[in-house]
Amino acid sequence: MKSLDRRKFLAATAAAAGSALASGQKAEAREVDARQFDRTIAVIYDATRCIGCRTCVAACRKKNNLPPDEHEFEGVKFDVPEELSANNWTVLQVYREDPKEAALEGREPKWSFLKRNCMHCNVPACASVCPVAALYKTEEGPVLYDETRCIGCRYCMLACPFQVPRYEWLDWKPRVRKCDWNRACVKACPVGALVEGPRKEMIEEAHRRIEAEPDRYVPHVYGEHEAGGTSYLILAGVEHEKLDLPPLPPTVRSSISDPIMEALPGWIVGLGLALGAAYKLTHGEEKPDGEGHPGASSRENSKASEDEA
Amino acid sequence: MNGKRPKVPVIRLAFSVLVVVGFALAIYRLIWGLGAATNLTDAFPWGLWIGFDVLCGVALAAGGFVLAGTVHVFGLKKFEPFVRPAIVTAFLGYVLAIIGIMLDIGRPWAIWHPLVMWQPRSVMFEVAWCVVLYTTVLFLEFLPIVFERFGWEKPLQLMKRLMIIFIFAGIILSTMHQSSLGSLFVMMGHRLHPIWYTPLLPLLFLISAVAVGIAMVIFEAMLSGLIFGHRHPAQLLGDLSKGLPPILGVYIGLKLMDLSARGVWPLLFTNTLEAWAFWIEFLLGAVLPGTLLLRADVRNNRMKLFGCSIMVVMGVVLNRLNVALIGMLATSPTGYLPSWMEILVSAGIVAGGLLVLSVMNQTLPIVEHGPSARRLQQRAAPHA
Ligand code: SF4
Ligand code: SF4
Repeated sequence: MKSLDRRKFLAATAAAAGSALASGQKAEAREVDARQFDRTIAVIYDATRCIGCRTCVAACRKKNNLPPDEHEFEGVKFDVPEELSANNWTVLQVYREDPKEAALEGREPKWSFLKRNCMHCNVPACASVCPVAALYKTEEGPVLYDETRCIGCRYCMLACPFQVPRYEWLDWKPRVRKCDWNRACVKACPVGALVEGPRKEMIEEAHRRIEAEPDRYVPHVYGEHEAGGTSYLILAGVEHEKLDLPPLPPTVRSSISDPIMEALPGWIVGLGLALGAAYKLTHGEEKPDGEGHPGASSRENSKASEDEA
Repeated sequence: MNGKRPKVPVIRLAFSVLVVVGFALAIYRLIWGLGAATNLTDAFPWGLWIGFDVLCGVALAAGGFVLAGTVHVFGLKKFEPFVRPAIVTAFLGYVLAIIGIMLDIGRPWAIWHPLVMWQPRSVMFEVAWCVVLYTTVLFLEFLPIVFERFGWEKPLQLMKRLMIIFIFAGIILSTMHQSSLGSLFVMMGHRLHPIWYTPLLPLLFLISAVAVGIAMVIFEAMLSGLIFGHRHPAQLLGDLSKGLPPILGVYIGLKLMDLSARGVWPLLFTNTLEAWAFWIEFLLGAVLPGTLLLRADVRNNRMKLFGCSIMVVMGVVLNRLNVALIGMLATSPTGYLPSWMEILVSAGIVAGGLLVLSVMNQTLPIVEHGPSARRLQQRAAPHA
């Protein structure tokens, strides 16, 4: 019985060591298997269905108790947030193509709305850089923030490829602020431009829409693969790049810094050995008799003579 | 020399004023928030305090581990007189960087969180640990100076026996910390200008830190020599500076490799702020001093050597500012210029460090160890 356990244990260890050593597998391990996120909650935002009414923005305000961001138009104040901020967790932006550009190609200028908010990445860069895991990915999908852990280094703001996290700059006890995926916006949308469901099904639905109406959409589901995949999927009739959505490779963002962090133990061992060797070579042999080392003895002599002087 | 002496108290007074002003502004920042005191925005979250106080402060403190390694590990004992000043500077540099960090992070009272709330995938986590551990090691390396001052023989002996362990730990931690400050930026490919953005950043930060470590030791020895009278033969400093050309050479080579490998040469020949900032940093900070120091007449001439050390120091300072600030401008819609409060707080921190250093220099056995050195100094005094 015991020996069997032992053998099993050894076999398991060997297998683990073998797989860790096979560099190909290691590299693969850094790619995420998107299937593990199939059941997380995803949302499709269909910009071609969006009518720009900003009901979602208002719902977000109400649900999260966020103050309005008012801009004045001819003496009347409207809550029209333009950029994400500590109080604007979601904003509705409008893109209009330069009419001259369109005229060159002899067509009407294109335009599109874009509802912007946290993408709720499968493997979020913000969470991977946070030194205290104040930002974290939940199993259900949302990427959440725990202010009781945060130290306020703002590394998350710089690392997020979508530049989503925002800060409470005028507070003595500031928090990082961003969308927390409670989907009040989805429920509020009057025209069904936002729909939610398991990620896998949402991706299938998005592709179905593109296939059904190829003229309506650019053939790309933004968020399916970007930065390892996100839970917020964007369909649009205008190239996503024009909407200021960054073109990102399918690699997970943290795969840039993971190798550096994982190389550290090797560096510590290697440098420790090198320093030890250098120390041994320069100090080891001179101890038994000081004369063996001309540099050392002359130094001692000079020191002695200084002391006598 | 006599004519110069009265200047010291005047400078000290000026520095004290800066410290008081900086302190008041720091309180203002803590009460009213970062946005009230700084020009930081959501589109530019890290500014002068990270770019200068932390990145430059830590880089300029590299002399501590470089000199400790040169003398105690590689056995170049003739440079022993520089070890203590370097360690004291490094210790102070780290304390100042920590003050900078405390003011910059939004929740300074939570600074200890990374020690208990782990997230070992984060480079910032490594940075936090390195700051804590290396500052502790520097403190331990600094303690013998205090023991010696008060003549506490027993703890002194104990520390001396343990010292080599601290030195090893200090070197390893330093290399990790210097490089990790570069690693921070490898996650910012979408923000940092391609002239500086490279996966080699950790390595480049480490090598340039070694260079600036040596340059700072020379710079400081020269500066205190100009103010308080020279203690070291010019030849000794010249010999120390021999380390610079090869290290700068490796740095220059790596940087050239990196620029070619990533194909950014065309960007360097555009009339942009970034290109200019790069050339100044690269030519004046690395290529020129590296070449000049190949000549014995430059190395052994105090003022020329002083000039070269200043170039290297400025080069590395500019490099860190380029990575943290100038290289981030193009991608930020708001842009950034430090506010006067940010500048004064940074100035106050530096002034505080210099004040403490000058007081320590007079009260602690930093520059000279035993009686021999003191006698040497006495011999030099009438001459001066
Ligand atoms: S979009 Fe940015 S803030 Fe949101 S989960 Fe991804 S990395 Fe984090
Ligand atoms: S600011 Fe807070 S949430 Fe963001 S990385 Fe730093 S500790 Fe984490």
